[in-house]
Amino acid sequence: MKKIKNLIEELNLNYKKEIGILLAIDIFLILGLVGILFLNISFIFIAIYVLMIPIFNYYYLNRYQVLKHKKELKLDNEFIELFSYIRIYLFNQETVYTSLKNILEFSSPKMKERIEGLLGSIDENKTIQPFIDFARLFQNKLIEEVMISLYEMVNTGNSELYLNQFIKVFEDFKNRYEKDKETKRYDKFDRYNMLSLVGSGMIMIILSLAVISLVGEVSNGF
Amino acid sequence: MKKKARIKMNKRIIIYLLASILLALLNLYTTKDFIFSGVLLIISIIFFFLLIEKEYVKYKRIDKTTHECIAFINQFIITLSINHSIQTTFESIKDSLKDELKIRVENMEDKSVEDALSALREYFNLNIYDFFVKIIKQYIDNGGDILKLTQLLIFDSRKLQTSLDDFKIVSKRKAIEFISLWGLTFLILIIIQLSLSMFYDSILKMEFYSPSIFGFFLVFLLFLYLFMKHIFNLSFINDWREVSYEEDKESN
Repeated sequence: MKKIKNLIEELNLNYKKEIGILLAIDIFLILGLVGILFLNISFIFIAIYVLMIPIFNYYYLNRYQVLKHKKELKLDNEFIELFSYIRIYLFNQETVYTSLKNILEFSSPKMKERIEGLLGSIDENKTIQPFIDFARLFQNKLIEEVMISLYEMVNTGNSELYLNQFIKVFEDFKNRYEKDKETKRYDKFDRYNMLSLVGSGMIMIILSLAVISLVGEVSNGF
Repeated sequence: MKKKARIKMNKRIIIYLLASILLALLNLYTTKDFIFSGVLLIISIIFFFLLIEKEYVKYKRIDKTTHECIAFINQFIITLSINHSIQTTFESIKDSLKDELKIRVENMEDKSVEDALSALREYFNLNIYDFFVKIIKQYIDNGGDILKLTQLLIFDSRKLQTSLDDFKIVSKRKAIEFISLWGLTFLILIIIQLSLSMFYDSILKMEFYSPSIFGFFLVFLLFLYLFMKHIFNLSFINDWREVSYEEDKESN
């Protein structure tokens, strides 16, 4: 429970409110169950209903991990976009430091905090360390490659050779990342199309139950 | 253009109503239950007109503004590379604009070109446009070769357009697959009913049958909603940015 509490607080959500909502839904579901028991409904439906309650709770509590993952992914996406702009600035003969400062106005608050942290570290430490530390804040490990090539530009005074190297490294990374995203986007369509099997399955189950009940009635009749 | 938008809206209304009636009739045919069929009709109408229409309007708006933005950026840069004057470029571009964008630009007669371009950020609501405005400001302040300054930006904008167009092509193909697969599922339901016609009256009398078939239709609507939401989801254009869109049904 402590792990979930930390996750919720990391996502800037109110822990008491989130758990309160979950408890309210659980109470509503249990009251529903009590109501269903009085209605004399088939045992199968009651069993399915009872099974849904813990499944719902599991997915509700699991969603915070999913939200955290999505948040981190958004920051990786933002990195790609912002560094696309940085490459334009560098291509137009700006320095790495100025380019990083210029993209602050396009950044989200979280990213702005990270870039400002990087700029502050660059002022104090002229080694590659600030760039590596910045890269480690992201989920995608290939961002380190991009930051190393960026550092090489700083180290060699913006030479054209290292500028071209940075652009090539970044473009390769960006193309791979976007291709990956595109594949996931299109794969989602296929998953939704597979859901038609659920529909077919439902039809088969309903009609099978109907036929079995019918056969049972006929047998009892004899 | 407003007449065209109204015709498109009317077409969508007809499609939504036909789809709702078809689902209700199918439920009625398979269960002979007027109450559940009536409820299904109402739920379907609410589903299409409130949920699907909302997503569609948002999707159309993003699609339209993205294409307009990319066309605007490219036209502006190319014209500026010829004229070398921001004012002349802006004036010559105005005539080629359409619809809401044209009206917005015409309402900015009192603003400077720089301010007008900045004001359009709210309309386009794209990161790439914000960056374009920044580069133009840089060009105004420092001069330089506009084509060289924006070479990579033009490349990125074309890539964005290609990505959007490719997604639309794939979406259409997948939508046809989705409709075909569910169409087969409904066909199975009808064929089994016809095959079991001798016993169907007995099956209809079973308490669980009508609610179960009704539940099946609700499941279909749920999956349809998830599928359509994914088709209409163009958030990959501005992946991380918080977006708010003005709802302008009239323009659609």
